[in-house]
Amino acid sequence: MSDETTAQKPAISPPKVLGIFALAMINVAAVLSIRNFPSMAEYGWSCIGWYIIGTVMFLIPISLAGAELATMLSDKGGGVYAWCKEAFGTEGGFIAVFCEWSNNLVWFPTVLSFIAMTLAFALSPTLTNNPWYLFVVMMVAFWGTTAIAYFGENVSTKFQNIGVILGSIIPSILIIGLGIFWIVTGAKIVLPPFSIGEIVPSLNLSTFPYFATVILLFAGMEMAGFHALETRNPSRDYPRAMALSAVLIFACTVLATLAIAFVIPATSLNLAGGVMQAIQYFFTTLQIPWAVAPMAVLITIGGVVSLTAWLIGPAKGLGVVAEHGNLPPLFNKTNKYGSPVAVLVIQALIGSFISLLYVFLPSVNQAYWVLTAITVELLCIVYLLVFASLIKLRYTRPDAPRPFRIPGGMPGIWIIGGMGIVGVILAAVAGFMPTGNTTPLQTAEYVVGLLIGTFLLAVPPLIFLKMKKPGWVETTEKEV
Amino acid sequence: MTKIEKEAWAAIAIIILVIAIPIGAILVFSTHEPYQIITGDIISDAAHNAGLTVVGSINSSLHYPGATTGKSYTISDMDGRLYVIHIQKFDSENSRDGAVRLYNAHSVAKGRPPGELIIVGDTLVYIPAPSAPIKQLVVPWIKAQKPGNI
Repeated sequence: MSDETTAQKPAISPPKVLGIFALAMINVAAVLSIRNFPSMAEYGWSCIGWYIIGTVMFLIPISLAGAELATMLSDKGGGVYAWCKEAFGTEGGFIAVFCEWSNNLVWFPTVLSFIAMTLAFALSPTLTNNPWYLFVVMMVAFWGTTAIAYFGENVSTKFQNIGVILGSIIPSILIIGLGIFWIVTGAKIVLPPFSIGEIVPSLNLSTFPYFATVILLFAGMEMAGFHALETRNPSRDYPRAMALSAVLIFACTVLATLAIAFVIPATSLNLAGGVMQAIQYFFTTLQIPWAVAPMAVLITIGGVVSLTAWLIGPAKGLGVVAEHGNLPPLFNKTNKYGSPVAVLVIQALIGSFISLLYVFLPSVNQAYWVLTAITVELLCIVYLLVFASLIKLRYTRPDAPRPFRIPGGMPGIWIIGGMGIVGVILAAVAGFMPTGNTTPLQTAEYVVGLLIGTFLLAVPPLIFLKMKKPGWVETTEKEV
Repeated sequence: MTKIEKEAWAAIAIIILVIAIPIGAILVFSTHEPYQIITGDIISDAAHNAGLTVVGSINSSLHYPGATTGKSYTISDMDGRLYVIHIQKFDSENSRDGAVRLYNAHSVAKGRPPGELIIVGDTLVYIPAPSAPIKQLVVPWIKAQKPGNI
């Protein structure tokens, strides 16, 4: 490609195009998803308790940790790579960003099929059974968002800003507004009368596997960190963007979930039918069935912007790893827009291949949840490293300027970092528990299988660092 | 091919391999559930077998192409706590597998899909996450009804 440049050419300084709103929208795009609402609404009032657990043990810690680390290391690109590298060296940083990237490869087919199936609801629901329709729409969405990423931060930011408002915030506000309308008009609320006892979630061994889901409901709050080099004033903008996105995500998620729980009885929330079934019931009950198709289009847009946020962030991080000479020079190809084209193309090719298997092989489709269980463990590795970095850097670099500093001194950092670590460890343990009824032998097979899968997807950085050649570093040094 | 190019291809091969191994394991170890008409009332029988009581059931067919009979059961345990289990039958293997894909597409955030989906011939049994406490009691019986186990 004519506009590509390799590491031998001088590095292009990325344009500083991101402000508070754009940064916040990157996080909102990555985290806020309508498809989570009906599944949480199944819990009725106790969804509030689950959300509080997720907020205290993950959303608040990761938001504060991200704000401190991103402002402290605002001159370094790579997001979690830069943060964990500073604390644990190249191995730590590389493993963190690679786990975030490799879990995406497994996640892509599920989000892509969500996009295709939700769009089918707006076009013709019979299309959901057509594998060719699914595959074509999945590929258009995947390569389309890859193309958006190709044109750099300026284009992808504009796309995300508009897309997240249309596809995530407006549908959430619409659902909340209709829930309020439902109450105001005196219609029957299907939940039992409110009491404090009702919001306390039932915590026991059978509900424990759900813990991982609740903690990781807010995964992605670190996504804006990958865009540090493109931020106009990171010291000022990043903490404000984190606060804005955390408040927006929490408010939209809790209120929209409750709105659905108020209107739809648990017996009608058959999630085997997905979010559009719930939306259809919701709108039909509110006597606005015509709104289902436009809503399907909006939710499809929400799926695409979520895909864009996750597709770009970790790829940028891996691009920085390559820039530092930790991957062969092929991975260090950037275009004139500053996008890591090689990583984006490799990612798109592998994701397309997995999607092909996912759509056309029913045995892969039926057992795919095992792979999604591996993604839970990979994300836990990322967040464990982030929280551990937060604590360690307070000891190893106590005097480094921190425009945003978690208050409370060392006790404060231990409370926030410790809470995050406990939450993530519990989520990781919960992720190893099979959801079905299994014998001890089947449980052992499941756990060993997950451990091997997680190890395989997390270990390549150590192999690449073993393979690392001086030539890779030399080209990088020329660039710096 | 230069040495640098060989290294690059080796790195790509490693990435493909680490993804291919888990998917390959699924291909080798998992079996595609055969489509077969299942007669009888799986959930009522499973509840009865587990000492639980079906206190009610409503028709709740999915608006999904190929979906035929669907029911939502409200089940009570010995302490009077209520739980919900859904079933949905499909008119073809293609539509049943499409519904499985739809379920997989609804993973919560980046985690697993909520609850548990069990495929029994032409029927999907969905046990929502809040009904987890009765799962141990009913799932073994439900799984025993799979065509391959009869």
